[in-house]
Amino acid sequence: MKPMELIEQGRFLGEEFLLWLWMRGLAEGGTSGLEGDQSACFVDDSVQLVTERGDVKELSLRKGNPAESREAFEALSRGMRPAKAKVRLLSGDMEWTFTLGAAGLEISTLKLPPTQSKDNQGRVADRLFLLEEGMAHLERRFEAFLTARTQDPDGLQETLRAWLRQGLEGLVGAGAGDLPWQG
Amino acid sequence: MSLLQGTLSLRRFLVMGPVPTEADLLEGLRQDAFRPFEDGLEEERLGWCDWRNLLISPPDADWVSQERFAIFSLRMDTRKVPAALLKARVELRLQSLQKEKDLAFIGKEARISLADEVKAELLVKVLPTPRVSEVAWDLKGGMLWTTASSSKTQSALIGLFIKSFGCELQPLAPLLLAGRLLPRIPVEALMGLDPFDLNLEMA
Repeated sequence: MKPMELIEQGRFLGEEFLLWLWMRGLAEGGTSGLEGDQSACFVDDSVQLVTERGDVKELSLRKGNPAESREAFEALSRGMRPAKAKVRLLSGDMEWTFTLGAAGLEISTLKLPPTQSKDNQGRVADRLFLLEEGMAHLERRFEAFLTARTQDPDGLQETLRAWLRQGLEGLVGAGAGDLPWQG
Repeated sequence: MSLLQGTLSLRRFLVMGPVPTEADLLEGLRQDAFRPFEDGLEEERLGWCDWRNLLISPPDADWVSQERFAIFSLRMDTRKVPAALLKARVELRLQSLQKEKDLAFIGKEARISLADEVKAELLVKVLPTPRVSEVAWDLKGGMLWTTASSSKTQSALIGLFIKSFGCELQPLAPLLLAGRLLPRIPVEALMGLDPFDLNLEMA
């Protein structure tokens, strides 16, 4: 199979992975669900949604809190899918932020945790280590997503649909249930 | 934006093929090292250079191997004569040629040949625009990171990589990564998955 065909054929897996990260960020405190893993991953303040149907083909939600916004959940419930999202990954006192593309799992504007080395050789070694460390956290999550996706696809689809319904009702994220009239 | 500092935009590739020895790796880098433009009509050149400085070509052998990584850069230079300037120069040259030789008309072939001549003269004066993409090849893990983000640069990287090292590069997209992370799941099972239907309006 040619590289472009391979990318196109797996695009939906990248989109669903972004959605899964998004859901776990809001519903599970960003954890991977894997034993012993203390890292956390959240969709941050920029999301791009796409669809092939309808009048609007692309929707960019930026600044503020797009991951919890009604606009995002309305678009997702109409069948729009995440094409790119800014992701924040935390492990101990280290933080990685980057934009993750769904089609090729491409990484852009990656900000690595700071390094201590002053010389070129030390800096590049440190940065490669940090790059691999961050990507290992992401890959562990991709693996957990794929396991759920292949073992119980109907269950995962229903979980995502239920989460979207909750999102439409304003019941996901930090503000959910905090409204005084709901107490 | 580089492996050394600042933010990074990266693509990851799976390297398919036998890992070269250090000597073969350095020979590949030397053989296809970046070479500056010379006379002629060439508008694009590419080759390997050092990751620390684009003027060091071929890459310095002492700096290529960094633990289990081989680090170097792909340098792509372009030079272009502005179309309006070329047209104006050719026009003036044609006029002076007609006057000098007392010609009423200059044929198409002669016009093309004159335009090429003028273009070659101007190209020598044009400073090339270099574009550098870093490459970090994990020789043990069979993975390659690159800052080449445009599809044109990626295609150039894939082409030169196979020429220099005899290894093919496959973009590490979701399906390929899935196959690598979960080898117990057959590829057919992954390929047979249908996208989720998350459209609640249709329900």
